[in-house]
Amino acid sequence: MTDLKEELSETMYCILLSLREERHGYGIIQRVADFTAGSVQIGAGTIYTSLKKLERAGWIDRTRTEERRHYYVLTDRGTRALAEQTLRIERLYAYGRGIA
Amino acid sequence: MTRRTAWFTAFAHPTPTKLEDWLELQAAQGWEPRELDDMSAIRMHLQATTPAKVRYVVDPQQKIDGSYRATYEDAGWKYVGELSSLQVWRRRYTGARPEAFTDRQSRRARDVRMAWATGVVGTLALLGAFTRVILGVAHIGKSAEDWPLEAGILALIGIPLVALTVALTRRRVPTESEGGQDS
Repeated sequence: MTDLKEELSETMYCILLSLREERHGYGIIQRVADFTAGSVQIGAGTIYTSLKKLERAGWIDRTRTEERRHYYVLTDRGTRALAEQTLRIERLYAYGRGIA
Repeated sequence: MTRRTAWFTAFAHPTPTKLEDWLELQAAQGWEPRELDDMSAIRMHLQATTPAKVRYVVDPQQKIDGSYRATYEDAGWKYVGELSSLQVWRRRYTGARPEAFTDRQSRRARDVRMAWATGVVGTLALLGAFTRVILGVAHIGKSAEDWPLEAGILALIGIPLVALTVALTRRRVPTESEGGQDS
C-alpha cells in the first residue's frame, strides 16, 4: 500500500474530509467547494487521479456504482489517517500561533 | 470554408499543454476538431464554428471507464475524443480559464502518465534500432544492406521520445501558490 502521509496535499485532505460520508466524484467536488466556501476548487482530472490514488492506498473504498458514477467512503485506515493528519495540522497551527 | 485539415510535423505538440494551447488557439479562430483518432497526432480534421473562448484539456489515460467520463461531464466538460490514449475534453468559458488539474500532485501525475507512454514507445524504437544495427553488422537476415536506413529511422523516432520522457520526468511542476498553469 502506498504511504500518502508525507505527500498529503490540501486537496487530498479535503477529499478525505468529504468522504466521511459516501459520495461520488462530482459530489466530492461540490462538498469541498461548499465547506471551504469556494476556496478549494477541485478539477475533474484531479479528483479522478486522487480517488484512484487514495483507493490504491486503502484509505477509501468503492461502495457502489450507479449511473456510471463510482461512490466512495473512508475506510478504517483512511479514518485513522485523517485523524492523524488533523492532529498534525493542529500541532503545526499551534507552533505557528506560538511564534507569529 | 467549413472544414479543413491541419497537418503536423513530428513532435509538434510534445506535451499535453502544447496541444491544449493549439486547440484553444483554433477555437479562438473559430475551428474545432471534427473527430479524433490515432492519426490526429499528425493530421487533424477541423470544422468551422463560432469563435469562442474554449478551454481544452488533454488527459493521458489509457484505460477509462464510465466513471471517468461521468466525473468530467458532471463538472461541465464535453468529451471531444481520444487521440492515442490522450483523452481530450473541452469547455466554453467566459470568466477565469477553467482547470481540470487543480493541484500540483495531479499535474505531476499527468506528466508521469505521459512520460510512461513516450518512454515505452521511445525505448522500444531505440531497442529496435540497436537490434537492427547488430543484425546488419553481423549480416543476419535477408535485407542486411538496408540496416543503416531502418536503424536510422527507428533512432529518429526513439531519440526524441526518450528525450521528451526525460524532460517530462524532470519538469518542475508549478506549486499551488504559483497558480494552476502547466508550463
